[in-house]
Amino acid sequence: MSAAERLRGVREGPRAEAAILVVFVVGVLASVVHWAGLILAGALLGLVAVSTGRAFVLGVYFGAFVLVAYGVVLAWYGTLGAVTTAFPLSLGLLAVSVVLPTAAATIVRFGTRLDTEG
Amino acid sequence: MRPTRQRLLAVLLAAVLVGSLVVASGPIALVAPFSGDAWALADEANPDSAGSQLSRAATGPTTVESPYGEATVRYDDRGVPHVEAENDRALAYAVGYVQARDRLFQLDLQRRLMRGELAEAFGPGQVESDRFHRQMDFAAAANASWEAIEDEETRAGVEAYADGVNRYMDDRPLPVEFQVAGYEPDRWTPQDTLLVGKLVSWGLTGSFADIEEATVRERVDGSGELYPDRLDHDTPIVRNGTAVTDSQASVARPAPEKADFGAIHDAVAPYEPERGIGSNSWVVSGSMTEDGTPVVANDPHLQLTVPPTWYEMHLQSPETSVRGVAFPGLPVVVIGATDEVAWGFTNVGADVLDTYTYEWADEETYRYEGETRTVESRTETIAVSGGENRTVEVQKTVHGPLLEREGQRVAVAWLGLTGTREAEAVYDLNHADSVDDVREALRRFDLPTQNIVAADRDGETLFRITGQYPIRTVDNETVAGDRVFDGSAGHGEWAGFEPYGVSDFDGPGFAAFEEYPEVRNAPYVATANQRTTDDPPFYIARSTRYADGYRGERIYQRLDERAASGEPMNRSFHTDLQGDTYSKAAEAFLPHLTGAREEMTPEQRAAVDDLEAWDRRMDADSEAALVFRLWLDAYRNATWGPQFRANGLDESYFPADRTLETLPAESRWFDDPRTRETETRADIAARALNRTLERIDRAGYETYGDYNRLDLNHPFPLSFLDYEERAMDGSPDTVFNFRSDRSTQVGASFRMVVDGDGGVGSLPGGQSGNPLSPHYDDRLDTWAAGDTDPLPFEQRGPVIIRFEGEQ
Repeated sequence: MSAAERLRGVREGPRAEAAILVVFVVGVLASVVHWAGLILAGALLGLVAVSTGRAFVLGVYFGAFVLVAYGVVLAWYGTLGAVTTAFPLSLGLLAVSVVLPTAAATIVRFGTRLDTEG
Repeated sequence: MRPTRQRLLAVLLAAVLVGSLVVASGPIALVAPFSGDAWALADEANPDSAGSQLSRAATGPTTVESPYGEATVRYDDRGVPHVEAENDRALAYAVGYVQARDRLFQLDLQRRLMRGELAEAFGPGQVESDRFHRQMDFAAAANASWEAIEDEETRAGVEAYADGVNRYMDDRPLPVEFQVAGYEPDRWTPQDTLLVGKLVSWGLTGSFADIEEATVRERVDGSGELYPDRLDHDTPIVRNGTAVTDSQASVARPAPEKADFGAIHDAVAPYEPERGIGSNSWVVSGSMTEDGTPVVANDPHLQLTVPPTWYEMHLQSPETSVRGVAFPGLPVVVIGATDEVAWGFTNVGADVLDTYTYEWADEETYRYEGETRTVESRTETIAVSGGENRTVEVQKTVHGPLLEREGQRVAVAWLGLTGTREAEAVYDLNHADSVDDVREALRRFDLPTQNIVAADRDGETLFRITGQYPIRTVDNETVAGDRVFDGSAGHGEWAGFEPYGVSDFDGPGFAAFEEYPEVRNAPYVATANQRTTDDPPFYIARSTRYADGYRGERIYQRLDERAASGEPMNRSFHTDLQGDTYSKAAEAFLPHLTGAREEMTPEQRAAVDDLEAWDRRMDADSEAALVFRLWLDAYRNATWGPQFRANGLDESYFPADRTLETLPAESRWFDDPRTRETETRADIAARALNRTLERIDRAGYETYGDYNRLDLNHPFPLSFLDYEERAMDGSPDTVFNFRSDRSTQVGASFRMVVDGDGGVGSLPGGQSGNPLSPHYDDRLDTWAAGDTDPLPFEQRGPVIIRFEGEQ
């Protein structure tokens, strides 16, 4: 089976949603270690997304997911309010969380269009 | 689009993304979720959070190896550290660690300021500050103080403290300010701790009043009468009933000579202590209190900063039990109490800085006592972030650093430029068991010159002044230090003073310790930076360096009334007095306005009627307080402005308010030389009121709180680091002290009352410099309202950090 066929299998096969879920989990864990994890997660979402539009949406979802996960951690340590009001750094946090995975997902999906796609 | 072309476009977009990430990697690394440097301290910011509590329950407190022995750090519900250690060195090490944890950026900022290294981190705007601080060579003075410390315990404590600061820097991420500024602090050294001491002392005593007054005398005819030896009030700290006289007997006081040092003064003025920096303190005998225990109250009025100037802490070891506040960078409590004795400070305002001029043989050589001497000179480079590096000539004469601006040159002798031993003295204060121990410790309290009040559990009380007081001579005659001296003739030197060396404070160049004004076991003594006594045994200062006396009058009035009433002076009386907003200045100045009714319009008369009905309290919700405060500004400007500003002298050169208050109604100083009429006090008072009402209209102010606002900003330009703005009570001349009209506002930087039941205090902000901490600003509301929290007299809160002795 060629790489393109395998990729199509992931994108359109029965395990597509599971793959996305795995990417979300792996992506968050990678983001805890380094911000490049956001790019990695975005890139993986681009690979598994069924379309460029879907990749964009998944990137946004992942950014929101990271923000919620981080918000839970901050709330756990009693600093969610302080981080939220640390403007403009909090705005940067919001932007980085959403823009990086979304851009990576969109570009990767755009660049991995399969020949058989219309 | 064909797949191949689409892939090419995607590669291009990916390249753009990667390029953008490379360019923006710094900011991204700062703010990214989880790993962002700005949030690196989020997990330790709130020890009371569920996460922190569970983490401690599971794994215990944070453990840190200490080369000095075991210690624990508890943080209480206000973020105050309670440090308990097996010995004093382990204690100092733990203090260094926790101060770095809570205030590392502040520590580094203080050090950079005094070393002249601000531009290296913050850019070209700091070059002139760096130039001044390098020319003064405060860093060398701190080295001299390190050499002057002979007490082994003090040295060991300072060294252990520095090790603790460095240990924190090794162990933990840097605070957000370093991350944003993009630099790492140098290692902390024992000399840096002493440099913080120099910073504090400079902020209290580094006054160039001599060259300021010489300049005013030169430029404004007859202005000498505006700077009397003593301000005209009857409430010195030590009240002995002596009438105000024209001169002090102990020193010769020929009128200082005129000379224009405007260029130098304008250059150094930004680095002088702001006029009006002061404080309140009083000590009350046990005979005045319900339980028979004396009381010490203190609220030092220093710059209000973010984070606060002071750091509160409670320290315990087998040798030490002390609580109170320290300047960040110091391992000891500066104002506070041991289990047996409490003490507090206010500034004396003493004259401990002299300036000298020379006959110059050429650019590099000057005449000195019949010889020629070469100026010691070295060139230093000021590193400038985002700009070209600059050079500065650091020059010194026999008297001290040489300052030069626009062809004017003066050498500076400042008490702090020699090896001073206040570190030893404060270490001893932290171990004092009695007022006698306090007094003994003060023998080495070389600087700053302070009024100290102290009381112990045995009922002993003390007032005296601290520091060293130079004795100047000219042709073997003792003279006051209120002038620029002829350095070539050797005039006005302090015998035994060695700039940047170790001085002989026990010699004839300094007043003898036993001669200092001192009061033991008085019913009460109050200090508010007014003159110390009417008949000092040696020259301390001229009127310009003392406060106007309005706060001192009010405090003594309240103490006298309470004593006469027979009611005990309990804790609530003292905290209420610290919050007193009654203005003695308003009481003194309002007759100037009411006496000017004839010169006024109906609208102005209505305003004066309101002022007459006013209770003289500078409260935020008062309309009359607003009118009075702005009127006094306008009155001051309308009186002095025409003759001072016309000669290039701004309001920083204006005489004291007490001088304005006591000018006769027909004084020539009220006459505006720009008009043909001859103005009197009434004319100027009415004119000032007119301007005031116009200003209030223009600005849309309704009450005093619209003008008198607390606006404390972090030195770093990120708005979330600033404290919340709010309306404030108080004024420069009320006991509840607040000065809003400064680039850096001034007020009670700490309030403390210690009595038989322990003590209370308040801090303008919060303990922690970590903006993610709930203790970043949690005490601001209490402070602004004039309320207090209990001072820590027992260990409180969970153990957050445990220091383990190295095996």
